[in-house]
Parts: sequence; structure tokens; C-alpha cells
Amino acid sequence: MSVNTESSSLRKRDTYLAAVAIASGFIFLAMWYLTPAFLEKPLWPGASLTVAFLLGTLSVFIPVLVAWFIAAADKPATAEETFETSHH
Amino acid sequence: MNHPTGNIAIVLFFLVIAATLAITYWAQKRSKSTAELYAAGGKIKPWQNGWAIAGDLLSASTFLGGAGMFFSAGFDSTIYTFGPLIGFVVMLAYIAGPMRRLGRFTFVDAAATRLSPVPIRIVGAVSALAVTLMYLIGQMLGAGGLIEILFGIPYNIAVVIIGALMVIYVAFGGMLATTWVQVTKAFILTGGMTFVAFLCLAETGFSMDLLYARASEVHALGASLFLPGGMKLSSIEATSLLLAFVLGIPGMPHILMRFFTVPDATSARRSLVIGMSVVGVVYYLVFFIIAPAGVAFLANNPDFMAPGGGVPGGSNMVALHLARYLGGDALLGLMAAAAFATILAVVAGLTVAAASSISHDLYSKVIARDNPSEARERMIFRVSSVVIGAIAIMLGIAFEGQNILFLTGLVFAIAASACFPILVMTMFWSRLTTAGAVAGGFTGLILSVGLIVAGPSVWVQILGHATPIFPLSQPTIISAPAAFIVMIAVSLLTRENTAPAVQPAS
Repeated sequence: MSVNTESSSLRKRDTYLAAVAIASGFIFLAMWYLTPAFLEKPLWPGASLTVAFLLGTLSVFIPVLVAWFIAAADKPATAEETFETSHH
Repeated sequence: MNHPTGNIAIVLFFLVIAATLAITYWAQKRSKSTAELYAAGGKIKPWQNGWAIAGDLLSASTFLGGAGMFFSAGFDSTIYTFGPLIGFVVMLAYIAGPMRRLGRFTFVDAAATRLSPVPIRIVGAVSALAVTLMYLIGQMLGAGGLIEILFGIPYNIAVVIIGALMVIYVAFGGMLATTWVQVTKAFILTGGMTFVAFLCLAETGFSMDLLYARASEVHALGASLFLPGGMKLSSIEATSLLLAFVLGIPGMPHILMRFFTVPDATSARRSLVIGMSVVGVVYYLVFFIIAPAGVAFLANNPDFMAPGGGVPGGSNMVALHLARYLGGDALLGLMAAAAFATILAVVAGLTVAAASSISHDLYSKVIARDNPSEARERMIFRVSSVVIGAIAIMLGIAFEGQNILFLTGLVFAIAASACFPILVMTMFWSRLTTAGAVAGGFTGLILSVGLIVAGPSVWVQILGHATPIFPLSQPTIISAPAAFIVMIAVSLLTRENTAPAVQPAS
């Protein structure tokens, strides 16, 4: 009885980049609860926009940017990998 | 019909129906084979699939519910933006490529390639059905109420209209029709949101600072509107909610199915990046511009406030009242039609996934032992879509007026606790056994459902008990790790009876 080893391998680059996106979300969430006074600070004197707004904006766009970075290294599919011929 | 959104909305309502039926008629002629019915023959282009993925996630609750949530809870609601986007990154990094290479029509195909297929298909299909049906019922309930408000159509009739249309799209047009309905809706929604956000900023001379200052001035929360705490989630509940999005999005069966509509793994990944970019932009427009503008321009505005406080029709109507404030009845009608198109597209996508689970995973692979005729499988798919439509209509009518917010939490909790662990462990852990996958999958499924029922959302708010058995409203922080732990433990204690080679999911 052998163990099935037909599993996929993780791409290191993807894994690290995904970790950045995941960490950004949980760090933002942690700051939300641990440092509300910091988040409350205006971005410039007298501004209504706060650090929370800036971090919120980053929290939306960091995952999108990370995704573009991840996909940027993708190579075009090989000719034999089509809907009809890939491992179905 | 007494329709508060005006005649333009009614005209656009029928235009949306006519356009989507025309798409279905066109797609029906191109959906003859099983592969075409389930996966549009794998011929969808990455940009098209990307917009369809965006359409799958951007429901009416994104812009109506999002603006409404911000109106009452403020900036705290932004957890609903970055959570799903991180989930997309996880999906891109770990799931999309292997899923496209291993599977054919459903995500269970990919999970079943390494292990004993029948038990894996049963647990996978049950989990997928639980996710899609509960999501569908939630959408139907919201949609019935929304259409009643928007167009003056009685709730029951609205639910029947939506149910009938979604069955027609799916049964006749299959994945091709559903894809193009999604693409069309995503274009309308993104264009509409961009236009409304532009008008919002134009009102304040394109100054975000002024917009936020006006919102702070008029809202009861004042400057706290842009600070944590509005949703009254504990830090553990917020973490659990974020975890539900991060692990739940990559386990959503109706989004996973989209990877089979493109020719190869690279296209699947590219389409996901396009889709999440569209989602990110729409989220930002809704939560960071439109929702604060809703507060700034509507709160304390006597023309838009109900006598008892709040906006007429409830906070979910904030975005539509804002549209009327900015562009009169014409813009209101446009946004109402966009909401209707959004509802139709989302329920169609869910119906395809649910019907596929029945016809492909359960009937074709389990009951017929992988040996049905293609014609029979297609017939089962169509019958399944009718049955699912009927169930959705019946439950939609039966639960009218019920508080179903817990369903949304449950959907993501099940996807994160049952579908995602099975998928990711099948793909990446070579020691996983069938017994481990089944035990872990059912643990995640049972725990996520059980803890939601025992939690405050159902046990207290619906069943009327004084205190919940389980203190958290979101159980993923418990149920997902438990699923992984059980999966690993049982796998280490068991061995496969056979050493299956990778079995093609034909």
C-alpha cells in the first residue's frame, strides 16, 4: 500500500507574495483593534481624511497589486495544454 | 404597479429581461455538448471570464448592502472589501492553476483525481450544494424584497420571476449564457458605479477630504464614522470573519467552476487577476466614495429621511436614494435596473454550480458510476436546474421577512471549512487519505453549520433564546482549523486501500 504522491508543488514565489497579501489584511485588522488612536490621526493638519482611510485604501489595493505580481511571472500555456488535451 | 423608481426603471427592467433572454437564445444554439453546457466548451477568453468572475462576486448586496452597512456602521464595514480580495490572492496562488489542470467541470473533479472518487465526490458535492443553495436562498430573499421596493412588484411574484428567469438561463443557455449575463451585468454595474462615484466627487469639487468632512458633520457617529467599532464585532469575531473570506472565497464552487470555461491554467490565473481587479475597483468606489457620499448628502437631508429616522425603505436603499439625489429619476432608474441585472446574474451563476453538483458529481460520477450517456447527463443537469429553481422559489417565499443575515456568514464558513480544506489538502499534501479528506470535510461542514445555529445569529436572534451556546457570530476561526486538524490526524492514522494513479476526471 503506497502513499499517493501525485500532489502539486507549491510555487515559492506565489507563496511568498500571497503571504504578503494575507499579512497586510491581518496587520490592518490588528491595528484596527490595537491602535485606534493612531488610525484616528488626520493625514495632514486639519484634514478629515485619516490614517484609517490611507490604510483602508492600501488594504484594498495591496491584494490587487500582489495578484498582478503573481500573474506577471506566468508563462503562456503550452500548445498541448488545451481544454481538450489537459489532464481531465 | 406602484413603483417608486419611476417609468424609466420599468422600461429598463423589461430591457434587462429582453437582453438576457436574447443572450440565452444565442447561447442555447452553442450549448449542445456536455462540455459546452457545463463549461462553455472551455472557449471563454480570459478577459471575458475575468469580468464574469467579478460578476459572480459583485451581488446587489455589494453596492446596496455595502452603502447601507456604511451608512449605519461606518468605516468598520471595509472588512467586507479587503477580506474577499485576499481570498482571491489565495485562490490565485494555490488553487486556480492546479484546479484548471486537474478538473473538468466542477471543483470536486480536481479533488477526486487523487483519492477514492465516490466518497470524495459525495462530501464535495454535499458541501458545494450546501454553499450554493444557501447563497441562492439568501439572494432570492434579498432580491424579492428589493424588486418589491424598486418596481412595486409583489414579493412573491418577484421571487417567481427571478426563479423562472434563472432556470431559463441555466437550463437552456448553460454556462455560456450565464457567463455572458455575468459579463453584461459586470459592465453595467462597474460603469454605473464609476458614474455615480464621479458625480459624488463632483459635488465636492473632487475633494475627498471635503466629502469625508461633510459625512462626519451630519452623521450621528461624527468623526467616529471613520473609526473602528461601528459593526460591534469583537476582535475574535472580526478575525473569524476575515478568515472566512480568506479561506471561503477560494472554496466557492460557483467561482471555481469558472476556471473550466477558459482553455488552460494560465488563462484561468489571468482571468482571476482581471476579475479581482474589477472587484477591487468597484469595492473602492462603493465603500470609499459612494457610501461616504450617501452619508454626506442624505443624512439629515429632510428630502431623503424617513419620519422615524433613517432613509425610506431601509439602509439598503441608500445607494438608490443617492442616485436620485445626484441624477434624478433617470439615474435612479438606471441604478435600479443595474441592481436587477446583478440579481439575475448572481442567481444564474449559483444555479449552474448547484445543478452541476447534482448532475455531474452525484449522478454521473456516483449513481451512474461514471458511465451515463452525455444526453442523459445533460437532461439531468436541466432537470436539476428546474428543481433548484423550484426549491429556491419555495424557500424564498417561505422565509419572507425572516432575518437571513446568518446565511451569508454560513456560506463563507462552509466554503472555508469544508470545500477549501478538501481542495488544498488534495492538491498539496501527498499523505492525505480518502478517510482523512472525508472526515475533515464533514467536520468542517457540520461544525460550521452547528456553530452558526448555536451562535447569536440563530440561537438568540431567530430562535429567541436568551444567550447563545456558542458566543461568536462567525465560526470559521474554530471550524476551519478543526477541519484541517481532523483531516491530518485521520490521514496519519489511515492508509489508502489502493494506490490510485491520478484518475482522469473525464
